[in-house]
Amino acid sequence: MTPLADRVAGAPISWGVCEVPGWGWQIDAATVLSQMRELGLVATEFGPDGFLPEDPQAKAKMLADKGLRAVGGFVPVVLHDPARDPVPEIARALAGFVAAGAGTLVLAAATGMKGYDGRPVLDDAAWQVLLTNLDRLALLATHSGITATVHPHVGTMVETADDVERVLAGSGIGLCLDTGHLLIGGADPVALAAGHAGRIRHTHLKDVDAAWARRVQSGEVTYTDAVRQGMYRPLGRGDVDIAAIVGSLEGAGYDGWYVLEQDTILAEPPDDTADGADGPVADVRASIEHLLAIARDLS
Amino acid sequence: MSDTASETACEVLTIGRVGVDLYPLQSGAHLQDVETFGRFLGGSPTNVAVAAARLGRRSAVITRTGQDPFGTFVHQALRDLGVDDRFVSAVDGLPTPITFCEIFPPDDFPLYFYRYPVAPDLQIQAAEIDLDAVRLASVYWSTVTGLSAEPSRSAHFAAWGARGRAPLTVLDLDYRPMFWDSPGQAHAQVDRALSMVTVAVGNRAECEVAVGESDPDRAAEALLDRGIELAVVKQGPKGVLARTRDQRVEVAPFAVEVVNGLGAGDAFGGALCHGLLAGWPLERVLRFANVAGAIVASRLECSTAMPTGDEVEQLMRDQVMRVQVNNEQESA
Repeated sequence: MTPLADRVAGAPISWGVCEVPGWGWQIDAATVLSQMRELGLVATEFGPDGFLPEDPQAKAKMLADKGLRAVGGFVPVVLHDPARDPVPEIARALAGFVAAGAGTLVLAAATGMKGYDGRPVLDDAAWQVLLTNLDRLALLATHSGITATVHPHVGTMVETADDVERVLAGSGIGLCLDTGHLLIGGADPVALAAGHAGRIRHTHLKDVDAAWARRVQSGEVTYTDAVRQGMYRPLGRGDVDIAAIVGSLEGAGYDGWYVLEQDTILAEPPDDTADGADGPVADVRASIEHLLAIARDLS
Repeated sequence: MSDTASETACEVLTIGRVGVDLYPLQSGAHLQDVETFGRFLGGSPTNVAVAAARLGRRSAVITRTGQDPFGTFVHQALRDLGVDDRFVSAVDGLPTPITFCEIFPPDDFPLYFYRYPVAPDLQIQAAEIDLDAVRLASVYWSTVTGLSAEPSRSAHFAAWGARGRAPLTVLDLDYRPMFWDSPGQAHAQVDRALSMVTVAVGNRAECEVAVGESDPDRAAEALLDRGIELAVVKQGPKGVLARTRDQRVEVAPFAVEVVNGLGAGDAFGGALCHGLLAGWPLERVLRFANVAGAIVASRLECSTAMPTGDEVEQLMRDQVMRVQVNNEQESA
């Protein structure tokens, strides 16, 4: 099994790079990738369309030039609409993943609306379409040698604890465990890792300020505002028991990535020296140190 | 697995009948008087795959031929017409079926099937179907004829079981009396099949066999009651009716000089697949499919007559059509 330290990857969203219009200051890819490598990360998720070069070979080359491997990435797709077949779109995405050397597809069950601050209600028939499509896309991915997962995510059709249960019971697809989104959705990421470790094939680690998460749950603030206010914290500085989650997964033979994904919104360009007390580099460094300490305790 | 995702996933995957059509090269003659025939790829679901391929869709057909020269012709014709032939296998000891017709325009085209002792395409086995391909196809198209005999019938149900009623799973209600002992026998099988599919397409007589209703609206309602999401009823000279839970669309026929009406329904089917995949409004889907069917009716052969999208669009532009769209919320 690959040592945990070699399964720690970065995510552009930790640098505030996001597909949602108006999300905040967008840093260029060369800067982000260089900083990832300097921090000791071995791989990265792709980030949103337009962040890395669109051409898969160019994408792979840019990562390789920076000494990083391709993890794969987040692909939001509408899965519940009987009139929209996601297979052709995901087949194209998978071809790009293969060409770029990535092995993990992270699906989000998009609402068909913009942003992550609201979602429609599905009836049973639409749920069945969604679950069937998840299985179809997992099957499609295996034909390309890629692991497909679904990412329970705020503002998507798979968000709440009930939604996660429904996916676990009604389809065979693997989960992307994302500590932050599960917590806000009312699911317990620690219990999920303990009870369903075998279904978890990919992990987004972020720590969460539970008070902010409750305010999002209650509708008092939007998800986007909470992120802007710093709801997500470096590992070890919030309210999620990261050590318990990692312990459950490693104990069950988990061999997937730990992506350090602390969603953030930058109001302005960060300090160019990049080693201030605040900002993406300092936050990611703190998360790496916390995760490697957990790994040492486990071994 | 060596194939990649995009190779596995067809846009339109059909299953069922294949054969060689031998059509008279003279109109208005009985078979006993015909001296020369044209040879064309045939079989309804095969033609639907061809029609979809002509419209630019990646399509394939699951079927079986004899181990004979006509079987070889089927493979060659499929490839020439842009249809993936990898799910076409041979059955030893059975000849590839041939089909003759007589041509009496505008509306009399009797068919003579030579599918003896039994057609290879009814020997499709559940175990040999690529269930991954069935699950991943954007449109999976079956016909009632495929349910007329074992082991094809069980294979059809096994494939539907694997697909899990994913959209778009189409059943062509295609009922041909010569393949069944009685309409009641066909009804029993269609009744089971309707719970496995999301789209049903048929003419009024076929709807009568399927759901016991020949009135187009009542037939469509009966199909929707079975959990079908889109019911399409072909009404002959009255055009086509399509209903979903919240839409009712009726499109008038497209007038052409008919040369051979055979194959028009398959062109309609392939175009229906194309339009639904494109996500067009239902009314546009039907108009497009209607015109595609009319183009084939104006030509002798079926498979090689299937129009391209440009041909259909051109004719659509040339003609103003009467369209009636009702929003039916109050009578749901």
